[in-house]
Amino acid sequence: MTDSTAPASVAEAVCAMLPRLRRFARSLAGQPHDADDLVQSAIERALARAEQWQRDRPVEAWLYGIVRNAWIDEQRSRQRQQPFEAPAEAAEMVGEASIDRHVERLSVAAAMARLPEEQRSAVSLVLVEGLSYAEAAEAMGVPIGTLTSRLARGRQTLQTLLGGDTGASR
Amino acid sequence: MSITTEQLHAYLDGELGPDDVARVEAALAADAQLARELDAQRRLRDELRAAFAPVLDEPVPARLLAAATAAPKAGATNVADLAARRAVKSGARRFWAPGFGMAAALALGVVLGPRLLPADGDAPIGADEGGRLVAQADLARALQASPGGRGVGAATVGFSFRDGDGRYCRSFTLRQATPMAGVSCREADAWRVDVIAGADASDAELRMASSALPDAVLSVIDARIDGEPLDAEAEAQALRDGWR
Repeated sequence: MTDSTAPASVAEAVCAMLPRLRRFARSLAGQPHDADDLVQSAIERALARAEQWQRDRPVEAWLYGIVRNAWIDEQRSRQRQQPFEAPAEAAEMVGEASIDRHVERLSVAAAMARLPEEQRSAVSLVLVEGLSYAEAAEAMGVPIGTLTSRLARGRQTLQTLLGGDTGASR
Repeated sequence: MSITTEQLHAYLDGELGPDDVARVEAALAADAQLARELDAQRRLRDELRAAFAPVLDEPVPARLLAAATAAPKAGATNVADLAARRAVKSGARRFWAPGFGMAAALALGVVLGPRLLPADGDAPIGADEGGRLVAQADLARALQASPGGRGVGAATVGFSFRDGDGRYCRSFTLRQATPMAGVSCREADAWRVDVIAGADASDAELRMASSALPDAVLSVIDARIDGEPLDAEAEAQALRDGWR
């Protein structure tokens, strides 16, 4: 639902954004149930902090940022290690899987899961959610330059994991 | 003049100004390797979008709908809602205090559409061809035939009233894992679900006094009701007439 008028309330914006927030959460958490838990936690935070949203700031960026921060807090409290395999390792795995001449590529979701969270968020917010660099930087609470470098690294790693055929990286 | 990786990405992402766009396009025309890289990035973006697109079409779990329309916790001020502020100022409160979730409940009615509800004939709420919510199964039966305070299955009807357009409307609650409450109005032989919101766990008693309904629903009723709710006799007559 695209809406050219500003939402009268945070609650209205949350409702309108539910499908998109779920999609973003899925890129962070992977499992549908975990992703929905994340969205629920984010909704509660957003409603509790409704007064902190200033009406001249884009509400979408604010909401995406709340989802991401809820994920970061969740990860910290569970003290999970983010699995991250160096591109060289991953390329080897792809090679081994092609023994039967069928190149088994990683799924997109699996490749995303291997990115460090800040690269995964940058890729998800810009390429999947369609935020501008400025909006994505705002959602992540970083300068635009930081956002673009995380985005570039994420894209580069994904190209390697997914078997991009451009050859040498620039 | 060489184009950096980030400039190439920015070009694909539509983030470059017209001068830089021209530079990149000139470079692309001259450099086949650069053009291949752009293609590869475009393919990656398309793959990412395709991989996550199905999530948008999934039904939104009821618990998220309920969370999005929940009243704020006790003690939180909710002045972020303009509609609530205006309503308080006008003094036209019949039921009670600021309807924090009014806009949310209405927005939910718009957000919920065929892609947000499973195609399930037994579900109390479905969508018609136009994507608007309609009551079905037990809820439809309850709305059509149950006196206030009674119901069918998990659906219980509350009170009845006429709205500004002359339609008969009835409040209802749904006793289910995520309790919900709403308002349905009869229009062209169907009970449209105009408002749906999550109900507090404390509403599970489903008393039919107005206090059992969430603020979000009460605010909408307040804004739409024409006169007073139907008394027992008027409701009985409407039931006999099939709500015509």
